[in-house]
Amino acid sequence: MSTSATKVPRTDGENKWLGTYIPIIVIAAAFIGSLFVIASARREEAPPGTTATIRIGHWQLEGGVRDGIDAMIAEYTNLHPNVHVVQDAIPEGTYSTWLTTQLMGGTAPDLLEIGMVARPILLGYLKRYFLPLTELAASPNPYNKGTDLEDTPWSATFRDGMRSGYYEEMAEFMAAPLSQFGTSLFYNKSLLRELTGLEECPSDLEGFLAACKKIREQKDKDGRPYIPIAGSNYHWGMWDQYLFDPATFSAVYDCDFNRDGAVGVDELFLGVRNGLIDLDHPGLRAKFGIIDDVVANFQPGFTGLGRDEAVFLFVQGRAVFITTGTWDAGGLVEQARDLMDSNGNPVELGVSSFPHPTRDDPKYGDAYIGPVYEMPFVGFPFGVTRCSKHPEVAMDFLQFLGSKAGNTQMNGKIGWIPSVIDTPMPPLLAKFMPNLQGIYGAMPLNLGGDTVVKWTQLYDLYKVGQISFDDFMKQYRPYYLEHGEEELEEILRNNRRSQPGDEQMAARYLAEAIRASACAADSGNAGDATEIGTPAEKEATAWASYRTYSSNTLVSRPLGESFIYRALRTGKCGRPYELSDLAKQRVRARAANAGAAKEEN
Amino acid sequence: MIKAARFGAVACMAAVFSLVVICGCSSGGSDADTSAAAIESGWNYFSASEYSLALADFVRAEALAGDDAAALQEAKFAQGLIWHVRTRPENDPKKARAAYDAAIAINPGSDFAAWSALWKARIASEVEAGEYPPAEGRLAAYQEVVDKYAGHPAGEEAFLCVEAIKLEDDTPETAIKVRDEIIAFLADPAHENSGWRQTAYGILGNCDDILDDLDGAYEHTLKWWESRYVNPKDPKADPALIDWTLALAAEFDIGDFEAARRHYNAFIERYPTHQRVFLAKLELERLDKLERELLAEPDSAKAATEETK
Repeated sequence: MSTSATKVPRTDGENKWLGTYIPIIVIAAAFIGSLFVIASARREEAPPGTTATIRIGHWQLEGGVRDGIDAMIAEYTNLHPNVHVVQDAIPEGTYSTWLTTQLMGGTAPDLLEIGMVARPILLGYLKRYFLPLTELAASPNPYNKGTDLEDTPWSATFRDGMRSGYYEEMAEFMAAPLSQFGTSLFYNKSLLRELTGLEECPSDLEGFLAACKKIREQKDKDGRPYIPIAGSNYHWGMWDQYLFDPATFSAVYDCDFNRDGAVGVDELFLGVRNGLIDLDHPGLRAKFGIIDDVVANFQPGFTGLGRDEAVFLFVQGRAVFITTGTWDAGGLVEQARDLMDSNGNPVELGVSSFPHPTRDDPKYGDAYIGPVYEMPFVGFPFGVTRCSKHPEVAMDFLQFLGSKAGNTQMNGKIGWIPSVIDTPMPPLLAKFMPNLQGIYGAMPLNLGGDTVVKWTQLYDLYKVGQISFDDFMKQYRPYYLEHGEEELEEILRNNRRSQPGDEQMAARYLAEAIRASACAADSGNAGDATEIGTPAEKEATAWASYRTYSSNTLVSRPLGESFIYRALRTGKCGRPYELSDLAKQRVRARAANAGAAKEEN
Repeated sequence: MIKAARFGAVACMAAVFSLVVICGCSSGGSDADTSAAAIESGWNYFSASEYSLALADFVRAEALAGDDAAALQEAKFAQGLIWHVRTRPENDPKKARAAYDAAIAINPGSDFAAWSALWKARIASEVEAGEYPPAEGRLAAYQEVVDKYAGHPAGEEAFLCVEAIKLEDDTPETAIKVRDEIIAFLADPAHENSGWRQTAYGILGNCDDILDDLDGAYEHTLKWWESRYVNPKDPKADPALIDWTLALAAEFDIGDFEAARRHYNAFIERYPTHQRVFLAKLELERLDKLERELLAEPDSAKAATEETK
């Protein structure tokens, strides 16, 4: 045995001590650490003096949005020092999962951005987890006091009348939209001037195409041809919605059978099948002609490219035009910041509406009977969750964000367009303001399943110039007619398949109506049913909600199909925007009587 | 001492773990001790689509009801509703029917009996593979409810279901019959204040459509609108965009151009940003042109005079 002071191996006893107590120490340390983290988070959520903490959750991680909301939180807490507001910004890719688990777990923020969920599921969530805002929508917003909107119901202060937050199935306003979005044409003004001599983007299609031709014919200092329009698969939809598709507007007069101002896939199929309209429609031919003319100015291979490839071309100064939405405008401006013109000066960027054919355009004037309708796309909608411990505070903060002053300030910080009417905005964004009266697409030529696939395949071939319009229609028409009836039937079957969900919703409304009646009976004095908030009013409204929902989905659903089946069976459907014989007879009779009365006098 | 410390640490962790498990466990539903409380809790869970918890509460309510027939009936009706509508495959139509029948048997003339009968009839209309069952079975089920509960809102709803199912055959003969039955319903003093009058006018509109009765369609659209429930929280609600609908009917169906102009202008004023405003303005321009064209047609005055004789 060694007696020297050299290191000796540990004994079994010491090993046991380490093995036994280190894990316990680690677990205890983790527990104490988590206690500390929770306590400090709670303290941060509820600083001293706070009587209400509310959370606002959303998925907008774009630059400026979180800062904008933080700025509004600071403003609000200046007004209400006892309220603490916390922002939860969640990545878009995980938002729907996060939203679902938060709602189901009863831990959702007080205010939640509504979206990222399929509509049928969203309706269930709204009914179950969110509070209606109808009463607030019908009354003036207190934060508009002292402005011209002081006496205006809150819903009427939004550019879309708050319709984007109104859910017909529930007959309630469930969300307030806080921003407006638009799509326009961005262009390199300096390059346009250099290559064409033009100061502005032409507003008429003919002038625009002439400018594109001039651009195409020139090369940059590296010998590469300039590209008039930076296109991609991502950008295609914008061109389609705001330039190509509106050429088909006149189809409304042929097959808008339910007269809602739009043509549904079922209506168009019935119109084609019953001979009221054909695929060789002048509007459709004009649409494809415009596609030909415009696509000739995209870069080659654009159909296989994504958004970033097109943006790259633009910010490199190789392309003159690119479409973009307001949600991207700030980013595009930022990326083009270092772009210089041929004189070494920073380029000037411009924004323009999509060019469109004028009425005297020799090729497309007949199809384009007006400017293009740009739906006021109002979004960034927030609702108040039922699990909120302070719903009145949450609603108050939402009204603050949705007031004239608050909405202007918030969107000014973010760089977006305010959703409230009569609000100022930066000159760049002002050009994104939508045109609210005009034409739109009216020939949705795919029903479902097979026809969608066939259409997409042929459309992609057309976009790259591999088939002509006539070839396209020659191949598509028989396929559409052959498969259309079965696909239409499947659409109807799918509508009926929503019956279990409709019954669930109707049963919920019924349950609420029964409880409202019980409350009214128990109250002793139910009050006046025309006065908001009385047990009598709540009872009457609850029963009305049940009847509305049941009527629209369970009672009358079969009747909605009758026109379609009648048209399929008889092969007949009258043109919706033609005077009936009765109408003509009456107009003539009135005129004749007026003429006779005039003669007598 | 080391052993004692070790034992203490393990005991602490076991205690914490047990506490977590106990708190997390739930027997389902509330711990209500009266049937009324259990029913209230049950409806709260039902509204939140927490069907398992709701069912537990209504079963509890049934057990606590004792001699309280009303509470027992409500609990049974609610159980029927849960078995009926809970998300497939957890629904059970057989159990739903049994619960509805039990509710009806307790007091056949009551409110909950009527609602049980209606929702039991609804089971006969369940869509399978996207198709409705044959009309005969559906009609018979709803007709039974009409026969027993004609004056009750559930019976009124069943009546309208019957009429809508009849109209599926889309024939003028049936449309005449349904039209007469609904007109009789609307004229009956027993239904003077019924909340279902609006739906009844809607179905009349479908009859007018089949019969090509344009005047009837216009009149019934107006009556449909007038019989709506006006929500005090949103008295101007207009989901149907009624001015648009009436404008088009006035212009194209019944030839009342003055009414058409009035309604188009009202629509444009109320909904200036709506997609249909452009069409409305085009139609306003076209109205003048149409009148001129009609009057310029050969012999239009003579034809008009002869037609009005």
